[in-house]
Amino acid sequence: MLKSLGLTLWSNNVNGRPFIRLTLDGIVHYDSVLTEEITYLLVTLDDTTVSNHTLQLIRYGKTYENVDSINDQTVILQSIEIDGVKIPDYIIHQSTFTYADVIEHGSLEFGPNGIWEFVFTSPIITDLMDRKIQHEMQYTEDYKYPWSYVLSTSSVTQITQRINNAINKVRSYYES
Amino acid sequence: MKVSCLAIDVVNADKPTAALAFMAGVCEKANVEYACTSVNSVFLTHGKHVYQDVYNFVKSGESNLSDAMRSVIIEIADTVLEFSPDIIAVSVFSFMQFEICKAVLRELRKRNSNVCIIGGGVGLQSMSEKNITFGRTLLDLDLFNFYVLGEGDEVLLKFINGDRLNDGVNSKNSFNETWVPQIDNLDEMYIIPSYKQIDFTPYHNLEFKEKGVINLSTSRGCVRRCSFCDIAGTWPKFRYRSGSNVAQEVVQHFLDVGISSFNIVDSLINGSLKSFNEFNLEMIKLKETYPGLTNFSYNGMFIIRNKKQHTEEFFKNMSDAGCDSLLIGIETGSDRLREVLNKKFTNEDLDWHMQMCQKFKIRNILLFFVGHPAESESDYNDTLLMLHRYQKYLLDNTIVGINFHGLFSLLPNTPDWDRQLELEVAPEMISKSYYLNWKTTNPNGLSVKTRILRDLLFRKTAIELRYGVAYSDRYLDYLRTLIPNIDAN
Repeated sequence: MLKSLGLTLWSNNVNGRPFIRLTLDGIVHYDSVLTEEITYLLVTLDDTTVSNHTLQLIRYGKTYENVDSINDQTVILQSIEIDGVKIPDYIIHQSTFTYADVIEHGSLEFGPNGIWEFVFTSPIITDLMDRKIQHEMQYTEDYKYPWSYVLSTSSVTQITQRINNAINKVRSYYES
Repeated sequence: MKVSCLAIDVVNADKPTAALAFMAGVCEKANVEYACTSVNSVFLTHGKHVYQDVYNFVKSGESNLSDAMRSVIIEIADTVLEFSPDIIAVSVFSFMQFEICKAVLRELRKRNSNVCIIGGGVGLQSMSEKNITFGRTLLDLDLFNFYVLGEGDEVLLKFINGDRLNDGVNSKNSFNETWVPQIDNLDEMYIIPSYKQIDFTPYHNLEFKEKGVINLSTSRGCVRRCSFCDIAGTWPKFRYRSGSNVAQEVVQHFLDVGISSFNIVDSLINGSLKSFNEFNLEMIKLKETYPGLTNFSYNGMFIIRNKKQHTEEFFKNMSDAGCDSLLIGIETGSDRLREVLNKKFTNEDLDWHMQMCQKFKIRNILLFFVGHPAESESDYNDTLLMLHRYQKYLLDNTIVGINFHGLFSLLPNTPDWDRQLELEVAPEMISKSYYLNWKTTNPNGLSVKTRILRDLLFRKTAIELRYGVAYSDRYLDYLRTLIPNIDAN
């Protein structure tokens, strides 16, 4: 199943506009200057098989000319959407921006030249949902109530296991 | 005059049912002393295990009470009679409550054989195997003195005031069983329920509201005739209150008990687009007048229509008014089957609904069932595919979960019941389960095994895709009553 990932980037013009290369699993999907303040980039993901993926934004071409006493040429990753649905910010922050010898965790603001990287697994929405469930468990215990729609990380495994057992028992009951 | 209001309402643990508040409203209008008891609430206070026991008891149609359940029922009877009522007004939520209702009434009668007991509620309208109403059955057992069929508002008020001869109020002296004529003008006749005595503490609502959620009734009946639904048996005509009348009720409850979260208990909240739009616009205005209502929110059952009827502005007004979440009866992912079910909307309409809800941050709970006699394998696969297609909406809470009815039940007083030949089915109670109350007469039709497996595979797919399916554990416990000796653990 194909999924589209839409990235919204903000950038400014300080003696020129920034360059960005967007790659998914090493394949380049965009490599050019960000000509507008807001740029929307689209990547198609083959989400069919279980596999790991790396989404990268590579910022390059910035020189000392792109910084003055007031302004600094910057790129900000404002949001990522999947098939038109925004991925929660706290998930996008589970990424790194590496420049020089520095690794910044969770930074979505790219001042210097460097590589922003977001690693995920297919099927992507299930991966993102697991992160959402894990995140929300810090703030709500509603998953403990049987009438709640809120899942916990363990309830997914436990309920699936119970359903699998029930399926096997139903099959053998009717076969016997 | 003292009235004890008693709700036989073992349904859910998230919010109280509406019945008690309705009876309390009638008592206030009659200006009599009253007390409220909910069977559901009392069982909830006794912990998870007893509650699970009583839930299984209700769902399975069993008649043997465990000792733990029996002692809770004794407590309920004592509580009701402690008030020394002249009248006990009992509301029975659905036909599934019949056995628990009988058990509670027997305890009441054992302690006080003279007290006048009047029953009402949708549960009493169902027919027993002998083709008599549950109301009449309980009367014949001397557990009721009177029972009401149809809308109880006005007749209960008259009854409390001493006028006991009204259409719909049945007793042993009644020549024929009668029904209350459906109220035509709800704005004039509707009695505002009262929540002053309703205890919210045993409940933990799903809407994440700290102060509890109040039920609101804005209409009766339905504009649709879905093939599996028996609502037309209770309310043949769709009748609704004006939007401004409903908005005024919201203000009254807010001023009475300080709650600003509402659960609209109608079959559908948007049956009348005119009234629903008026309600939303009125609430937008009232939120400005009453600053405490800024957090006003509502949820309810909603029918899908096409984008010409449900425009973008329509969704915006809902959101601005305080629409928090909607329960939508999708039932199936198949357009073909949905047409058979007479649901009157398509997947395209549903896609539009989701887009708009996403835009205006309205959450949705999806209602499904599987195993309708006309459900082909391809229809079933379309349902599973829909789960995949809409999975993305879990990310931003446009979808918060699934309320899965499970297996299709063939109910009397439904279009499906009337077309058994066409559907090639016949009613048959299997494993004492209301879910398995029919068999196929077609050798290639849906076997019980296939139905149960479809149910389980649906649940499995939904959970694997990370949809929250409420009461999953409870259902798996309940499976044991579907098939002897099955234990999902």
